[in-house]
Amino acid sequence: MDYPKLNQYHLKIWNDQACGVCQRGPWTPYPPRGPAPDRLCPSWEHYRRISYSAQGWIQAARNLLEGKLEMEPRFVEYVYACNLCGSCCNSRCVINGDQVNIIKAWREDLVNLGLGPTDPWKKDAAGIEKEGNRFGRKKAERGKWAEGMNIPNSGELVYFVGCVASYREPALAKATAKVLKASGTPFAILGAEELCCGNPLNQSGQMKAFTEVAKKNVEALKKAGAKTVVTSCACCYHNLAFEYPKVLGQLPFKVIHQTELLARLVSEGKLKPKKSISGTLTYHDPCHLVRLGGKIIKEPRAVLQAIPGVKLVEMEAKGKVAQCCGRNPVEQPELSMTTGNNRVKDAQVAGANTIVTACSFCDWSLKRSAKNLGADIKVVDINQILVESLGI
Amino acid sequence: MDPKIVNRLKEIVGPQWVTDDPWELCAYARAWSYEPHRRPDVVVNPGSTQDVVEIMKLANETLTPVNVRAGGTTNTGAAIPRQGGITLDMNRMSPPIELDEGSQSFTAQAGVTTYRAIKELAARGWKIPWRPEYGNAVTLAAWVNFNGMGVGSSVYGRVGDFLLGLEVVLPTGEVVHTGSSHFGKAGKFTRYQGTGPDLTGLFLESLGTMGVITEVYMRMYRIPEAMGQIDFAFDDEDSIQEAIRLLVEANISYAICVTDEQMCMTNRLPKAPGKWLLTMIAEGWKEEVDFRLRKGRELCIKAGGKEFPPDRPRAQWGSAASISLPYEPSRRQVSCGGFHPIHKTKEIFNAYNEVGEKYGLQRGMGWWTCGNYCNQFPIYVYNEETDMDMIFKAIKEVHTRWIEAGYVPDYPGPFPNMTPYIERSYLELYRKVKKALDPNNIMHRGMQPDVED
Repeated sequence: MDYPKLNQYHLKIWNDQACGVCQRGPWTPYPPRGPAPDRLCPSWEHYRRISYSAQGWIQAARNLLEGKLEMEPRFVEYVYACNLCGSCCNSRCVINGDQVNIIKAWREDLVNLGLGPTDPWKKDAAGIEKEGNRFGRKKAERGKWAEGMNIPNSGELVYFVGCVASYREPALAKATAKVLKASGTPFAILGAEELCCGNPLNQSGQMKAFTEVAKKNVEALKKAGAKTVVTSCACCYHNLAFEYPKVLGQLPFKVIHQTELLARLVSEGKLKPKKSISGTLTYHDPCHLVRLGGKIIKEPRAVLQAIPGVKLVEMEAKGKVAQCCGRNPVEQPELSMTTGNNRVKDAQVAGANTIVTACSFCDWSLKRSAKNLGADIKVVDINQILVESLGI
Repeated sequence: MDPKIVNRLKEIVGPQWVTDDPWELCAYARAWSYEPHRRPDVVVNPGSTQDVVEIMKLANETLTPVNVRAGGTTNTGAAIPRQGGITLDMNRMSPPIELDEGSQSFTAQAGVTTYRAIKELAARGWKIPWRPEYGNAVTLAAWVNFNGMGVGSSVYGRVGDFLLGLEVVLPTGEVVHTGSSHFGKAGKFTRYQGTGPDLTGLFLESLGTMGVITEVYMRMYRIPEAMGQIDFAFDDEDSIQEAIRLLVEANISYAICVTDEQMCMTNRLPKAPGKWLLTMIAEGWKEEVDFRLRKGRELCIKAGGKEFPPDRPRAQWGSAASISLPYEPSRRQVSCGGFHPIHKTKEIFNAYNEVGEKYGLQRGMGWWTCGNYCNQFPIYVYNEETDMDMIFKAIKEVHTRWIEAGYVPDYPGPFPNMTPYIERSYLELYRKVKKALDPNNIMHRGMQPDVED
């Protein structure tokens, strides 16, 4: 069997030094670069075997390319065990940030060979194909959360809501819309014309389906007159801003994450948080905002610091080296739970009683873990905190 | 491997902690080493000392080879099985370390990394003597198995010099505690005691051949008030050798570290201001550090050194990564090293340099001192196209010349195999001890020194 996508990385795969930095962090974790967090790879933390780390997948890939291994169903499952959080891409090693790309290329080959993806990702794809969302919920209900809010379906600024906020956590979508309205910023939504951003398709190597979804979303956004697209979900942001251009070329609009817009609105005085928020907050950086293309670190913190009374504490693993929330609660439930549990514990160690995040998936995963741990800690989206402080 | 053994292992630790999937075994066929890849038959993650006891009893009963590893950042090849069998991945055994401030010591299980220990100790104002060479993944137990040394060894010595004892599961499954903790109600405060010879030494630097280290007892030190460094360039081997001699005699250094200009070129570091670069680090109270650095400066100038201009970037000592890891695709390195007395420095360097020149290899040499001697770690660079036989030939040649110069290796093999150079009576004693502890030769089977002629 041939693995042309994977083979593009054969030199890097061959050159992997098996030095362990993708499990435990950099070789020089000390100042001036460090100190670095002690944890790095969520899969390694869950499985506790080096085979479940970039080093493991890369060594298996090398053996596959050298003809020393054959794919079989359980091997395929193994290739789908990484959550692609990109934490290992920070480790200063010869793979040079391509760890996620290597695994995605491998998955794409598996899909093209008819060997992948695994069942949960197929289910996502079926839902997206049939109803335009990963849950398989009715397409017509996508914009139901906005009923009574008088949000137009066209405009220069379009809020791309995402599947989780549209169907599973409509409170997030409502909070985002309320904050935008409170700032006096005109915006539109696509409603039933919006499709899943394609994240599960991109993660699982279903690139033909991903490209189709990307095309349809771009067409819908163009039709709505979008000059800027804002997302409240970090995964949607990542796909629209960084993955769509890879398959479609330059987009006819700008893609921003809502925290960028919020920071601007706060600094321009268009959003004036008034009500004091008590308690100790920590901000969880979504992977997709801080690495794999995203560099949105200061903005959400600036927004939170503008809220009266907020005591903001930092977790050790923050910014570019932030630990993942768990990411795929449906497709990788156990890995997701361990990862989310570790992150909730990080927040507790930091002394926080509220975790604020800026991604629907982080919100979902962390709430799930906080509940699982019975932790006395609240998980909220940054828009929900703003709604409270703005008194709207 | 007999499926019955795999099933029994699953019963001992739970099925999720055992794998014999070939795609997973690939990761365990490698370490940070240029050794050929060799897969184990099965990988097991023990979660406790009792798990290890049961595994070792089973392995001994079924004559199954056992290889122990954790981070795999060793270039000794000790993390790679030579004859298949069971690989124990110790990373699961990593609860928080236990501090005993009264004894100025701490206890860590086998999966605790040195970096985690550094962080947990630092939170209470303590430290281990220095930052190990190999970053986050190296565990304390592996550090003991190698008897590591590094920046800081000038004053603190090697790991054995601050090791207070161990918990070890013997190849036959018995649990032994060494150091003072084996006696009466004594705690873990000294490696030595009045109950006979130092048995901790059986396992120190054994590369896993004598048993499975499950707990490490180690001395901790207060974090000093200040640290400082001076950097000097030297133009020839005689003057750098003299500078090291003077600094070691003066006994004022926390660390004395040296690299050659080749290392700067090979690893794309800023251009070296001389043929040799020396860093001296001092620690202590601020006045003490100032004094030591002033004295060090005087001695380096006396030996013919030139201090770096103030704007020249300083070496970030504290990790071998800063000097010996090529971060570019298509380049790899082999490192080979050992220990030599200070007065052999010039000869050791010339051997490495001339062999590198002869084979046209990009290279770099570094070393640091440990008490009265040096640990050299040269690298040779190769790539996908390189004839590996030529690399091995070069390594053998450099080691042969070093043996003539009077060095000792930093590990006993496999390449070159150092067994033939070991004094016969010493080798026989080693074999008797090994046989007494590991009658069926299951631990790291195939590792040097050879257990048979």
